[in-house]
Amino acid sequence: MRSRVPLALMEQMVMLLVFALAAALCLRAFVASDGLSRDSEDRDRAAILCQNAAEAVRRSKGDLERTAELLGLSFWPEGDVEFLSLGYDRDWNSFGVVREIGKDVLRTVRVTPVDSGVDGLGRARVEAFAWTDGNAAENRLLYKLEVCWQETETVTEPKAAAEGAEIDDGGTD
Amino acid sequence: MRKQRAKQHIDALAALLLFGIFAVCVLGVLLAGAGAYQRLTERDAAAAERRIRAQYIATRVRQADVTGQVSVEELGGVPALRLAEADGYVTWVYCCGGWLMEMYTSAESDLAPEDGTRLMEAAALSLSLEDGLLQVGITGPKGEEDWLYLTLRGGEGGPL
Repeated sequence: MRSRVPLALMEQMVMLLVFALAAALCLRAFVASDGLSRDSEDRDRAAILCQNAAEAVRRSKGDLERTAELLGLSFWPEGDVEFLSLGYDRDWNSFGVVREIGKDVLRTVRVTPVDSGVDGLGRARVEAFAWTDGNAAENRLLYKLEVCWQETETVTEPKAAAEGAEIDDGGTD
Repeated sequence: MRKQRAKQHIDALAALLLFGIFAVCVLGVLLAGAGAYQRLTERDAAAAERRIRAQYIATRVRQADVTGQVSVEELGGVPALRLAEADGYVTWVYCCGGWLMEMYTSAESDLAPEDGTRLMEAAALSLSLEDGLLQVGITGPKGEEDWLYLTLRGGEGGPL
């Protein structure tokens, strides 16, 4: 009578092979979900920091030096500065105002005043980027928002009310 | 005959060994999966708590953002955000006993900070209001700190 052991051995080897393939797929899914979770956490942090920068630039009416000051940072602009860049490490620990992406600066929040196209209306774009390790050319936009503000503090009365004109409410006498 | 029986034993042992390897691999993948899932849920929960803590305060301030209605005061020796409402009632938001708390009460009430409603865990809350810019520092139970800057809209702007 022939032994059935080689058959069982073969069966188990096939089982192990199928399992190895399934396990490899599972591990890939774990790694992908970990990446998604980190990305989601990054976006949460970026959203709060962008909102803070937007509030500060709105308060300072587009003055980048004042914006940095409101955020508790020092900024000495050299020449014509187009944007304010705040640097952070991978865990969003602040490096303050940065001029360029360095080895440790892997997250940035950039505040760029832009032309609103409307007189008396200021506008700025606030963006958060994640940079790939050691590669200043490759960035990923995490969050973006635009903020507008009224440039002037002057509040004038509506013309009709200022001149004491009577308002015709369409009623009958 | 004896040789054939020994070969059968070795084959059976190999099958058993292979089954053992299979069982160890299954256990390994299960443990790796459980670990990954635990890490994910912990990180997501921590991120959600941080976001909710900050957004709760921002939303509360925006709801009450009318001229002079938002102020930083002390409630029983605890720094608190005072959000006044038109009907003479106020909402206090503060941190007490390791919790972020809220209390809705009449303006003249003498309730203590402990009488408020617990919202979520928070170690500390620092507040400052200068020239219409509200700065809120929230420290979570694990020491993680978030800063929130809010420009009060109440009273600004108007018709041009």
